[in-house]
Amino acid sequence: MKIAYRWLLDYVKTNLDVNDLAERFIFTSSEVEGMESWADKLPELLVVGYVKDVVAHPNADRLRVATVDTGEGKDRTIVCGAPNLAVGQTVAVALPGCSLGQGTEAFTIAEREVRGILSKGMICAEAEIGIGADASGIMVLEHKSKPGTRLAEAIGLADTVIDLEITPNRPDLLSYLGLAREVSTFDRSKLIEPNSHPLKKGAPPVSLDILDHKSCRRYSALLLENVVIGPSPRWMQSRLLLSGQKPINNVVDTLNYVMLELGQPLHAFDYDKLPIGPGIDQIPSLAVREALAGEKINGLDGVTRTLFAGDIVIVDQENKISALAGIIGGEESAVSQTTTKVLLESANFHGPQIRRTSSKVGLRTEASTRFEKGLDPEQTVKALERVAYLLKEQIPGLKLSGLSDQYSGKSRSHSALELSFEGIQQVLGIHVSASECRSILTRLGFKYLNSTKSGFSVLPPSWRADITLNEDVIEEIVRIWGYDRVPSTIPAGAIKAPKRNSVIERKQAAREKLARSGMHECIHLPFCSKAQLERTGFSTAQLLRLPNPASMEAEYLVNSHLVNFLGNLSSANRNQNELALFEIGKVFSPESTEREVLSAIWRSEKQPEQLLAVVKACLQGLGRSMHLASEFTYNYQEKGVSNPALYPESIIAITYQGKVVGQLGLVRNSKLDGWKIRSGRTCFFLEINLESLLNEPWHQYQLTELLSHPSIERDLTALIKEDISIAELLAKVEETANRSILHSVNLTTIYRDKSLGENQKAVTLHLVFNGRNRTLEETEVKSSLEAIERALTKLK
Amino acid sequence: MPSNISQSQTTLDEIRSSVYQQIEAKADPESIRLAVFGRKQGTLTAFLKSLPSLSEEEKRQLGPQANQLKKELEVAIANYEESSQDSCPVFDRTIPATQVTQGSLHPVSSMIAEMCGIFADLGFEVVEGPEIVDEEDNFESLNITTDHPARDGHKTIFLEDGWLLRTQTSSIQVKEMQRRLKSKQLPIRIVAPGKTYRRETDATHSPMFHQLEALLVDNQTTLSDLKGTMQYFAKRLFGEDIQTRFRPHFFPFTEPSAELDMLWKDKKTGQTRWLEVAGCGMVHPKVMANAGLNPRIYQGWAFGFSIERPIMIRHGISDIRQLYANSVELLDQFPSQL
Repeated sequence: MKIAYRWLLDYVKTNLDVNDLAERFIFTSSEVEGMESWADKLPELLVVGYVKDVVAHPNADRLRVATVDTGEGKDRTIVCGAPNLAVGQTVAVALPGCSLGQGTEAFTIAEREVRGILSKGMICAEAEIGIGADASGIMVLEHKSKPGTRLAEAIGLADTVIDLEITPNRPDLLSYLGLAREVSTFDRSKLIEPNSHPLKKGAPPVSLDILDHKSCRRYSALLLENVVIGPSPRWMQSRLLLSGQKPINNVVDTLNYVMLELGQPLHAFDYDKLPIGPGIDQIPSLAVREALAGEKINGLDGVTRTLFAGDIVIVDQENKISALAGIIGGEESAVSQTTTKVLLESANFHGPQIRRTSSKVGLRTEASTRFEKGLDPEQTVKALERVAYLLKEQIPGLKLSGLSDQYSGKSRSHSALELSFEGIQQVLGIHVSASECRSILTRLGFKYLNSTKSGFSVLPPSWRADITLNEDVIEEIVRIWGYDRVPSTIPAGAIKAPKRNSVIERKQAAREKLARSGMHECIHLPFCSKAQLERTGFSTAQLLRLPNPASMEAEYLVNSHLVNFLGNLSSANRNQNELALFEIGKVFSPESTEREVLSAIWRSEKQPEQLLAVVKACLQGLGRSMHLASEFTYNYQEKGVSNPALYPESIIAITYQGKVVGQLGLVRNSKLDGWKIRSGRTCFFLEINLESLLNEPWHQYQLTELLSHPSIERDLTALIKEDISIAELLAKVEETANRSILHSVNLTTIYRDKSLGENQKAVTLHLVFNGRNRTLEETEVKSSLEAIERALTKLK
Repeated sequence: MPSNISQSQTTLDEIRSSVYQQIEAKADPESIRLAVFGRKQGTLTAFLKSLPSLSEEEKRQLGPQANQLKKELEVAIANYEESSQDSCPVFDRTIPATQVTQGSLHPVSSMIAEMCGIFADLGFEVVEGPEIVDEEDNFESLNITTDHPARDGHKTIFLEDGWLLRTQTSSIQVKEMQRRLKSKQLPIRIVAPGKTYRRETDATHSPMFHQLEALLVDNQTTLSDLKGTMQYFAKRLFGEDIQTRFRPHFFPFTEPSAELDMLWKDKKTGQTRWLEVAGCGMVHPKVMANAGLNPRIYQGWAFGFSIERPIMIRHGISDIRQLYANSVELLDQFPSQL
């Protein structure tokens, strides 16, 4: 809600300046989203001028020469082409040097000769100043202002606008009066209700039929006769501009003005366009009913909208929709330049339904944003009375002919709330005195029903539908009393050692382990497009789709981080050829909804075998780090794992205690091509399903005895067939070695050369022997080594 | 006879400096040793031999000095001898660092771990909840009824069949309270970090972001406790000097409600700005009742703290989307405490 500071002062006598006021709003009710000074929006060199004389231009038929007093002691000669220019007018003058217009249309006024006469400025039209659409003639001020006064000042635009974030529970604050009430409460200053013209129920101008009282609790209507449509007064136009509304005409502007003032949206029908009803009284009849699915309304914005069942509509005698209640009026009954009779509608519609309709038809208006939050039914007639007052001042001879008012919801008023001071203290932790409570609540409009030493009971005001519980009242007290005055304490009571969450700790341990191994943790948005899925080789069938994605780039929830990783390698990290990334997070699918996975990608210029050794180094010790009972193992035989993006022959099943929990494999070149990944194209992708692992018992490793006796280390080189894997070789070594003394076997090098013979490779292993609780004999090692060597010759 | 003593001291000094000179000149260690300690020509040996003939006063002063010198020179010559046999290999001490790949934790998971650590100190347990939830968990149970205008602010990302991506970590509240009530684990002190989703994207909003929910339920706890805990938390994160402000707000599931802002200083421009970092309040009686807790017996408070905002404040990151592009260039800058 944009409020103009000076305008607000109409309703509350406060000495707070605009900055202090904004700050008080922040600390008591509404966050300030921005502030804007309008005085600075209109140029300083735009001033008020008084037209003293007008003569024809000697050299041009359409131009005239004006003598204008701009308060400088010396009159200015200004050439002007506007047809409405006349002596005695108070006008807006742009002095030389003044910049007008915006962007490409910006221009600067200069003294210049126009057909032989030096023109020292420009008399402006509304459109040229940017405060209206009228470009047909110059803007003429109704009130005389001192020549030379800044125009912004003269027309009431020299004001500062505070943009307040009004929370959805406070529709009453979508109005100047509501906000003034807040000021009067926190500043303890006087609230001033605007003037109004009292209305009495007369002969009803319209016959009303409210079919559903839940949809419409109250419908008040006032008929205005002898209306002359024209512009609204300049001050009103300026104020509407300040609050973000476009001036249109006197009737519409006044309705908008009163909506801003009091928070009650209003609508105007052209009375003569409503068909007359069947009754003998010869008046039109209107009905409020629910729309049928497929009914249409031609809005006064020129758009035809199809309605849904349940939308609230106002229909005329012929059952034609005249307005979509609380959102927009119909085109056919709209007020036009020739309207002379206006039927004003001031109603109370069911908030939730207005909100549903507004979101379904995709139209949010100033009216609907107010109605949807639930308005005070008590204010409908009050708003009409204010409109009557304002329009009577604008239109001489205006006739107020009768008020209709149907009010069915009166019984649903607030019930009283009983509070104790002890209860207040129990919630807030502070003591607020009885007098402070009373001062705050009465200023906010609460009615004190009863007051004792220990507490009080109050009735919330009709405009505060949000107050239904004691806690609501307590919040009112503390926000005005001051959140900043609330002391800071730490919850009492002994601090219990919190139960450790092994699932979370295990995930964090895995993260830290992988990061220690040189990998970078990523967190990707878990969304992807159909094209990205297809590029990766995944079908969209097993994915969760967002029915209304914000963009097609985020149409699906990922079922594998691979899509995100490949996207990453092709964009954010396209320049990093050597890279290891991992992510621990949820992936999504229809069958499991969401599951926690650990995924990783390694990217390199290396050969697959070399990179795979790096991959395995990263994963070494992962199980232990995660406090699992054993390490993960690689299963090279398992056929049950696959991934369309990986070469099937490359896939290694990751197992934990014999069960497959994941897979590791080389990403297909064709997929990298699809993603336009040009370098670092050796890519291994790993995925481990964490769901069952995270709930494994937390394994606390115990110390294995340290080696206290010296080890004997030996290198062993074996020439073996190319198609024998290192895993097979190592298995052979472990099988034949004296297990009681072999401590570890590690691969040192693999050497391939033609000189070794066809399909042969030389593999060097590093063996460590240790006797654990005794010193090893050289001979034991020798005989074990010989046994191994003998076994390995069979692999040649 | 002081002159005699000083003369002898000069002799000792000369012996000392002659040894160091020879070491400096890289003389043969054995010949140095011989020149000083040799049985016949050794200079120090000669001096020591002359000691018995001296007066009592001279013996008392010079004896210990000579012995001290002997020990010193023995060690000096031995060290010299060793170093002359074990010379330092030649290398360039200005050699630049090898490029070792250092891994990193994502700033978000580091921040979550740090935040949970602070809450652990206050006795809060860490829990997690699902990211796909229904309207009941995300809205209804939290007193955000179907047609509540507050729902508009959530910009919910819906899935099929009434499911949605949770818009706030508060979605864990009611189920956790129910579970703990059933298993008699009251009072409650929990924090729930995690991913949340909303349909919005700009420099300060990402469709996926993180929150840390804190919930305390006890027989007696107040708005002052809430304010105090949040300020303690902010100070643990940012230091004693961090400026915060606690101001009223509205949430359907808390009453009274508040928001916490932190004063952020742009280190580049020096400008300061209040940044909203958390929404909070006393748990609404209806939410208590929804969890089966009697609001007359139990009170509680809860807050939802932004994870990204504190990261952005701390590291001067102005666009939240940078955090989820996962460029190694960015990740490398915040390796965290491994």
